[in-house]
Amino acid sequence: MGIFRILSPVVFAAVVFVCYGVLHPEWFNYHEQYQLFMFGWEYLSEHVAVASGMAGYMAEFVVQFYFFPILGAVMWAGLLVLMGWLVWKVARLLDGGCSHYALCFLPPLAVALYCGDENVMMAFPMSILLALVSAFSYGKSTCSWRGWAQVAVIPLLYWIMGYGVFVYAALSLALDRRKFGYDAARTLLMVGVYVVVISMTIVLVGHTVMKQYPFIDIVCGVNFYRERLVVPMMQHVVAVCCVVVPVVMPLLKQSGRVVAIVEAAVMALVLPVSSSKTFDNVVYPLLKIDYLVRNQEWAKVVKFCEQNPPTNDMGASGLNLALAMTGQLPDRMFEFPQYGKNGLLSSFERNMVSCGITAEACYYLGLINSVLRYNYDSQAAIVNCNMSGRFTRRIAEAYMLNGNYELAMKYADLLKKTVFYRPWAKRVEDCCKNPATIGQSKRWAVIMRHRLPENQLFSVTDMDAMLLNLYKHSPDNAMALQYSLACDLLDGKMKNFVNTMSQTFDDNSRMPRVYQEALAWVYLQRQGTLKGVPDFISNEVQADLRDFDRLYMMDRNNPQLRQGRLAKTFWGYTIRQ
Amino acid sequence: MRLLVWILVCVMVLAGCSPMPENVTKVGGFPPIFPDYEGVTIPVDIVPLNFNVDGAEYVYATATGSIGGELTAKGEWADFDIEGWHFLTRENMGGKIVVAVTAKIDGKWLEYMPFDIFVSTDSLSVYGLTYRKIAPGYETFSNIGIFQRDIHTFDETAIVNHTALQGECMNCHVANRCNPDRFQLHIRGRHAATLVQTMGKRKLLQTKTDSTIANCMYAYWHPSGRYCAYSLNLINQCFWEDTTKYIEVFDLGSDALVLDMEKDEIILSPLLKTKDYESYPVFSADGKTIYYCTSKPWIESGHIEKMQYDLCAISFDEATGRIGDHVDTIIKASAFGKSITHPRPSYDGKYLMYSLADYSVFPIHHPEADLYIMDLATGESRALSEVNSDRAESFHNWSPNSRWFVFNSRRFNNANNLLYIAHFGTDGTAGKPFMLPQRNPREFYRRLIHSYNVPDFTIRRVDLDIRSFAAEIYSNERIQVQVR
Repeated sequence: MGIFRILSPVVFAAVVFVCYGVLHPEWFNYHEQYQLFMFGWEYLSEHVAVASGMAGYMAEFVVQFYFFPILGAVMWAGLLVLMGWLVWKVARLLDGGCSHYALCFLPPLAVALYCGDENVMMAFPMSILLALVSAFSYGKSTCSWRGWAQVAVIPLLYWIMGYGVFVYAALSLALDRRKFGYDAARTLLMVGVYVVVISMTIVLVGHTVMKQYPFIDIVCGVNFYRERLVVPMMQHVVAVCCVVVPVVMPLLKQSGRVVAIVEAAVMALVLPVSSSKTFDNVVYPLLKIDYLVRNQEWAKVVKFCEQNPPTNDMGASGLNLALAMTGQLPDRMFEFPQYGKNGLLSSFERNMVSCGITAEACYYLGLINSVLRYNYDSQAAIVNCNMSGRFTRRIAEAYMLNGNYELAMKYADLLKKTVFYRPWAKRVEDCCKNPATIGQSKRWAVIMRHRLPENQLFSVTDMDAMLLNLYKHSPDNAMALQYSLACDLLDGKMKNFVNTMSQTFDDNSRMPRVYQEALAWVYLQRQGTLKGVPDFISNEVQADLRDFDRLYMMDRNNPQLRQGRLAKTFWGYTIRQ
Repeated sequence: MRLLVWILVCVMVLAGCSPMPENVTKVGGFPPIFPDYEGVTIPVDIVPLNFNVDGAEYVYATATGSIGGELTAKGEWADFDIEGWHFLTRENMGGKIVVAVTAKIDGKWLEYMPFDIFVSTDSLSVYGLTYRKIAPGYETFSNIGIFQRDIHTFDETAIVNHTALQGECMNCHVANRCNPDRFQLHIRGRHAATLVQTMGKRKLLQTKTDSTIANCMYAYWHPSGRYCAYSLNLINQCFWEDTTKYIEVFDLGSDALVLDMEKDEIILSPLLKTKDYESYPVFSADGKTIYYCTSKPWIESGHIEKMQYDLCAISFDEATGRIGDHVDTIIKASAFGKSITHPRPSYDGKYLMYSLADYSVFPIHHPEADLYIMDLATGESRALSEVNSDRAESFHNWSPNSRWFVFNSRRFNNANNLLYIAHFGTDGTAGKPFMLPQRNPREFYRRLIHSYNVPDFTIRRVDLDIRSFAAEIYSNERIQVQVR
């Protein structure tokens, strides 16, 4: 049984590590990028000024390590194992031995399943963990008046952990009942006392220091879930599980090794088996693309999208950025589903996710003011009003590249109070003090060269022209030209496309596949035949277009035009529009 | 008990460790303090003007009254005792407070030239300020709230915070002449409404009608409290892609009207509902005139720099609620290539303060925007150079006795709109403004990312039952205003 008790948490931790850290590193990225944990009294005092704020503060402390998903996965697995160990300890306090050791991982398993919902914030598991720690400490206490002390302890713990206090109260009641042998009447009386204490605390808090918070937040935790005024049922299920499991475990009959192994196997298999339900298969691919884009893993973005084609403009914008960064956009863009020009630079939406990739595209294009705007707006859209390390970093960078060193240093100064952004912030600060050194960074030098110095408005309607201006201003900005041409193709502005091609391509240039397709298409539309088509259009493209044209003429609903090789062309995209 | 004794001993030892200036070197010039309080004019009983000294490890500041009294602050920054400071300002009303600063910088004690803070005889008898605080964003908002700040202490409390009305935009908290017995504020978004609270009674209005182009926006109360003047604005914005400018806010159309707050009826005038853009209507101190800004529909020309507003006036009859039949152009700013916005008549009826920029209806983003003052008796205007900077000065409001005004400025870092209070003398000149004091100003403004909007004085704390208000907002029950 000794080895079994060592192996069970190891296996459970390994499963969590693989399911979260290896398969879904984007989960860690998602949580980390929507907070900016800063060391200092002010940041702490802001958090502890609200009920459950301490749990939130501790959660944010942990989440800052998610900057490196592997490190985050280790911490996350460790936290869940600690939770299981505490459940076991509380169960032991309730009644001596129990052979169903693996069941103590049921509550952390429930937490792991629930937290697959990316909107569940780490404050919730932290609140549960604090509740279990407190219950265990309470159970170990030998103080004879510990029951009466609850009148003061419960409000204090409520302030620290918020919602978790319900778990604590229930477990401490169970512990008292076990220790002092409460009868039904005494138990009922204590339940009444606890209910009154918690209710009075909540009402008092709600009408004094937290007047500006809805009661649903005051009861169920501030910043436990990322959607406003929403408390998923799973939150309550997890809480009930944390109470029921340690209470029920001692009641179960002693079992043999086989039953124990089966229980352990079930605990280990639930998370991987339910993975597709736990991790939303629409949301997580987007988070994955966002994560890879953030880390400039361009080849991985393309590879991921080859297996998981984008299903909306946000995903397409990440893919197109990766294609551009790897020089593949003019050759391969129509191999993937496209969603109009929003798939290049997504139109603005009031949420914290969708603008992040667009901001990155603007960054590499040299649209610095748009970088600032999209990052500010993304940050302003963070539901719990947190700052974001990722966005703040880009804001500081954008100000620096715009020559606004005062503001760049202001934001760098905030980042200096963090662990993982601090070295970068110090570098920006040094550069701002000595602007001549900014150009020592190759990327910054390029962006400053690409940046538009004269008056130009950001235009969604004339995006192609705006991007072309960017290219004309800095002819080595090949990405701006690729985006401008892609914009024309996605918008069906073939006249603009041909004009831009005639201005920017000479006969000696290699003609990318997509441009060949588009020019061949235009030629066919104008001439009605491909005879006499210019030399730069390859025989392969001509043959494909002939096939496409033939199939289209025979049956414009031919499935081959919408699926398969011919569908993955400019012509396929055009007829789908 | 033993632990307590140890703690006390430690505290006493630590207290005794406060460094005292020694081997002091005298430095010519004023101390490099933040905020700049050198030569400012303050009212009696204002919160202490705490300051930081750039690069100082330790600060030793002595404030000595020209009439009497002395107060010392020492520590990482000059943090004066609130009661002591109030006493010092009372004792030196009409005089000045001379602040001597000695600071330890790079291990050396430096003594600077003392600087003066003038204490006005004009009172600022208000509880404090109201304002909106909003985190930076162009098209998104979530970290937003309307707050009130006691200007005698450092206390700030939320009137409506984003946590109470999550996801809703809020703005334009406007009281009647600084008196929160009557105030209004707008909520935007899915649960849009205009809250009107009169003598503690609330009502939520739906102000868009078939006869008007938008919801009521910029508000100004009639002195009687019965009416409110509003502009209706189809607000839009565009974004620059160059290194100096970021955003331009403009109207695609705007009208002005008066709302009868008792009958919930809007009073329209064809003269305030033209194809031109009318905005920022305000009542004169006697309530007989509506001043407003108007521009030609510049958007037709496509030239954003043509967005220039003139200052106009039209009469208003309180008894009948009728708007006059002719418009007087008070200042044709467009004729000299400028744009006037935010007119604010002083409550004593003598002056009118406004913002002047090269163009724009939203001068907050224009570095050249400055405050101007017009003498209503002579019609003469001048730049308030006493308070202006080379960065944007914009939204301003008067104190009830018209001897003080509060305004927005971006002078601090060209991004955050911060609040400044200035004295306005009977001779029509302003004193040097002072930044809204904070307990530890450097740290406060260092961490601040918010901007302050629409500041105004409030004679008392604004009392709003936020829970009931939030419930009403989410109920979506509104009183539809009617056209008279």
